[in-house]
Amino acid sequence: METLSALHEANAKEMVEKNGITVPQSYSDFDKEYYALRKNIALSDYSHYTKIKLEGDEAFDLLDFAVAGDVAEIRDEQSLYTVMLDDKGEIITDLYVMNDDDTYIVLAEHVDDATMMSLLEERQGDFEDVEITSMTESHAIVAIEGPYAWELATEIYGMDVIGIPFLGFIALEDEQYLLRGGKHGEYGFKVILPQEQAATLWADFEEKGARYELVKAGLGLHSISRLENPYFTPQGSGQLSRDPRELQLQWMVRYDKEEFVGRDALLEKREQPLENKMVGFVVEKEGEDASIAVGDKVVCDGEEIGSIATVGYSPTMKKMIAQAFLKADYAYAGISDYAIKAADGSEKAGETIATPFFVNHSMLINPNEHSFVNPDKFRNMIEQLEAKKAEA
Amino acid sequence: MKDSLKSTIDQRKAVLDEVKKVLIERLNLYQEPQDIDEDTPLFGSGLRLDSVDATEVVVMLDMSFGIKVEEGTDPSFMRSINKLVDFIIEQKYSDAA
Repeated sequence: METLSALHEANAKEMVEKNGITVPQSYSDFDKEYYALRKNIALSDYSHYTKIKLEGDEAFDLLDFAVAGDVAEIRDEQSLYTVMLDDKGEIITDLYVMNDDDTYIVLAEHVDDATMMSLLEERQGDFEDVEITSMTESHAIVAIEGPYAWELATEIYGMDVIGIPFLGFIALEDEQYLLRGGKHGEYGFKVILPQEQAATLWADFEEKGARYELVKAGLGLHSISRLENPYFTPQGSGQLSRDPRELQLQWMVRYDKEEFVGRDALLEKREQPLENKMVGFVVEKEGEDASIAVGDKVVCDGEEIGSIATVGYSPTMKKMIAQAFLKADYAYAGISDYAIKAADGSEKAGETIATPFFVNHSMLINPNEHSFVNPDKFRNMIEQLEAKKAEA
Repeated sequence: MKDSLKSTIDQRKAVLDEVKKVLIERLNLYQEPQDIDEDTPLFGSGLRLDSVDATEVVVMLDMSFGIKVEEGTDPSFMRSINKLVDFIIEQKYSDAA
């Protein structure tokens, strides 16, 4: 069988290089891929993630010092989604830390393999009993994501899939892992597996996924999905701030942990009043509006109160949505007194909004009750309620 | 800042402060109020609450805000601190507004 990258080269619409690894940016068209993620299943290649294995008696100590979250919280077959900070307390990257029976696997999307290896080595210090091995070249990540991803996953991996909690994983045979998690608010499963097995799994997902209307997708759709369900991105909100407080990402930091890189700087900042904060913003008028761009000012009664950090058209909301970096006194959700001042001088009225921007379709689906393919079951909670009403 | 905006923000801040305070007390959270951001998820990631905690949130709404959550209510109000605050403001103040 040919390799996964050869399969993409022959079939994808556009490829992109991330962290030195080439993966699909798009497979067909944006809307098709977007709605697959939001309504059915999108099949993606996340092999660009940096993947590092840490083994040895001091693997835990090194990781717990290297990341801001509490690695002690995760037991076997659990993972932690957290951040790695620099000594100024600013976010370098977000990352997953998986605990496989006290061997740890780090998955990071926003730094390449060499950078992550050197970050870990810099933090290693006296933690000598740690073996750090790169899995980035040897392993691929194939992901299925969307409201019915769990159902397709059960076809291949069995009913145990339904019992995997968010950020839990199953260690499969042959250094394969099935991790539940994603940065889009839908059901998501990443399969981390040896490169030589990736193309076979991709084809298997494609074949078995047809009845779920699975669509092959690229990374391009996440420019919007990660705005709708905000996650840290260096190219987005990260351009204006890397401060966990300003980005509303303090939940990824465990302040009461004794020691971790960036802790002292963060604790010092924590004593100071917050000057700016990132909030969700939705433009009042429906439709795409190309005149709104990153860097546009946000105004309130003529006063400049901040600027737009990320912006895009949400097909689900049918409106332009943004993350606005506002003066802290103004940075609250549910305020409709603000407007975006576009480059052409026009003002776009809107409202600050609690994020995520909408209720993800996956929240309406209970794997124990619903199904996309079983005609004896309802597809989601809404269909179920409507049927109940009709019966009454 | 004009008075009407200040009043809207003050109302939201008051509800936010109360929600954080009560959650910390009822759920024995280790965080200080300023460590909990408004968009922090409640379940899955974020505060990593569980189904028992969800019941506590419903009790908290009744005890602290006089809001009884009816069966069949869309549970998405429990998605984040901010969504919870939206729900409280809608339930408690929207009729009076």
